[in-house]
Amino acid sequence: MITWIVEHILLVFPSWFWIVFSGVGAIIYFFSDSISLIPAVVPYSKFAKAIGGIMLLVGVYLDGGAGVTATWKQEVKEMQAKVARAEQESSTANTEVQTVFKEKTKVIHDVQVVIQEKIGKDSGKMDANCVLDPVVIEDLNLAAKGKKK
Amino acid sequence: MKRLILLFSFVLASCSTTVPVKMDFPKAPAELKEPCPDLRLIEPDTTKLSEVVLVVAKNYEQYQECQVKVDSWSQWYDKQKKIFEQVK
Repeated sequence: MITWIVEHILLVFPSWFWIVFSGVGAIIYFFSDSISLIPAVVPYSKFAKAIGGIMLLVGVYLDGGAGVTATWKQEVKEMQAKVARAEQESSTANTEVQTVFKEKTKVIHDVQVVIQEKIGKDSGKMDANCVLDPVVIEDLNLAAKGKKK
Repeated sequence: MKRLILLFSFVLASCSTTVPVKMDFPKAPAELKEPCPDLRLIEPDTTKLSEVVLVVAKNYEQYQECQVKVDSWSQWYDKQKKIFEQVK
């Protein structure tokens, strides 16, 4: 809550304002005793010292806050640029991997089409002298399933 | 002394910073996420060697596609990890 309030106050005023503000506070604080020499202002001297002290503290606090906020904003900006660049690189890398994957898969498929056509052509020779026992199919299927017999 | 500590803690209270910008780890391509299918089985009543060879060849194709998929996963991860680690 306090951070939120401080951030909003910092947005309203320029950063130099807090140096002036704390400077004025310091002047009031240190010269409040001198004011007491003027009889008409005596009742206000202690009040002025307290106000000057508070102004000095708040001014230093918010000047520090303004400096930190400026650094922080710069860091956020740099980080956002870095993230945007990385996201672009990541997207390019994704596309590259996808393209290579599709190309390789297509080559595998194309080669297999040729091989399967060849198997079709050679089927006559394969089947002419070989009749399979059902146990061959059973064993191959078990191997494909990866289960024990 | 107590007053000084209180004063410094007040003045330094606004110095804490964390940059609220971070990169999410990217999503992998959908093609790579598809699981490898089970190997094809031979029809139990088959007696022809050519039909067996055909199924075996198709299974080889499936294996090779899966091999490419695993390689692609590995490449994808290495590339993305490298990019992700640059943003720190």
